[in-house]
Amino acid sequence: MNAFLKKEWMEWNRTGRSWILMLVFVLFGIMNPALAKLTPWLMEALSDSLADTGLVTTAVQVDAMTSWAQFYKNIPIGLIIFILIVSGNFTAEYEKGTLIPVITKGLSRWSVLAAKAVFLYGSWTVLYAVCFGITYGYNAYFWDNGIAGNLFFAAAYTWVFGIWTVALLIFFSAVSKSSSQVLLGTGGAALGVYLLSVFPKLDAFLPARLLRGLDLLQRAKSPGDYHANIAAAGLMVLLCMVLSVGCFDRKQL
Amino acid sequence: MLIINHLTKHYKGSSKGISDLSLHVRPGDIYAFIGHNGAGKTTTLKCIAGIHDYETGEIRIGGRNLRENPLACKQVTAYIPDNPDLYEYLTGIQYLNFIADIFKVSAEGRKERIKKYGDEFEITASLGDLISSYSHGMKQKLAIISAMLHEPKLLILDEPFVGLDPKAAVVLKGMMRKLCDSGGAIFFSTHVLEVAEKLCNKVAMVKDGRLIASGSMEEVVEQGRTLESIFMEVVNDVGTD
Repeated sequence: MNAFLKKEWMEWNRTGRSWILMLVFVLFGIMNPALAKLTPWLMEALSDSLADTGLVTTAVQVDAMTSWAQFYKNIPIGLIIFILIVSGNFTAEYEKGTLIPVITKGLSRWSVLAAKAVFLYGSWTVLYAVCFGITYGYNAYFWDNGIAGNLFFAAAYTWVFGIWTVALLIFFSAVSKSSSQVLLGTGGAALGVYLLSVFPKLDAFLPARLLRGLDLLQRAKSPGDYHANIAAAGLMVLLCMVLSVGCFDRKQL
Repeated sequence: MLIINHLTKHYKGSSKGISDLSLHVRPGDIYAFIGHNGAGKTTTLKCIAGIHDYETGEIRIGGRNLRENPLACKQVTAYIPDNPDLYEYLTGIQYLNFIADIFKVSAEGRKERIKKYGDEFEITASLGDLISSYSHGMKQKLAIISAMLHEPKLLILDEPFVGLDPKAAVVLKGMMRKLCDSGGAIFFSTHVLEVAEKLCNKVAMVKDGRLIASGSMEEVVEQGRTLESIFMEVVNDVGTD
């Protein structure tokens, strides 16, 4: 498995995927406080033209919460970009036939799947941590992060949502033949769960709620309110992995 | 070394596949597997390599059942597909080290074998280049070197001479003979019947997924005739039955 992980890392660097994703998440990390910081200046610059239309602007107060609100708006976009870029991680190997020499050389299919899963979960974790860390650092420098309640719980829950999405991607990669099928499956399942969460009774158990970290920061919810969502996401991740192993084992390469 | 008993494999939604195929490749054998396009050669080789599952029958490698001990079987086997699909974004040496890592080949062992086979195929100087810059023949050479890194006892080759330059083909034939002289065995498919006749001590012919002739080259090819004429005759005879 270590050999395959090393191969994945070398391939990611050579294809530039690691650098593109790192750049995106670093940019999002900087953009969150930057947008908050620039908001008063933007409002002031636009005040004259807004006044012409009858809108009166008052002094805008920004703090760490403004930046965190931006973080929770941007991170789903970051996750979508991550999924788009890694969607061909398995299927490109099926299409090119590159897994055949590896599978026939004594590396079990389970090891290949495990290595790819570890790599994808690890990449999401590192990229998410980088984005969170940058925003946290700037917020601490410009304002005070103490204003946000349950900061680390909110961050961890959003990370779990990302892990759940990556698990879906791995499952659809194990059953699909092309990256478009993977994207359709992962996107469709995530959208389906998001739409179902419109119903409050279902929302209490669906992973979609984990994305609403702002409720925790504003202390409108407590970390305990998300236990059912965490448990559901954990079970779905486990189920996706078990099904992926079974399907990947039977997959005709 | 390799025993195939009543192997049957068919693809879903297709009549193609193999039916009730039985063969025995003994240590020291260079066994040619010949047949027309779509006869079932690659399917058979892929079943032996563990890429395809099969419906019925049994494959034993080195006395072990492939279904029950797939990893142990693969540890003594090397399979080279007809199309060398390698990781284009790795360099030649990175790919060889990756394969050596999978087989847990020692640092000394891999260094020695990469040097030896790299020099024989005259590819050592290009091992630092990206595989994406390699020609088909160079990729084939790299695939052969990667297959030899763990010193396999059984070589399964699908059209191994396609894309190789004449010198590399001679080197490969030499390597095949050396492996068999040291107690290994080779089972390979080919359309080049002259090569099969000169190189192999055994031959099997397959048509529409069924074995139509097999045995030692002397048994199959009668005196004064060629493998090509026998092949054409046997294939046409079976076709008109």
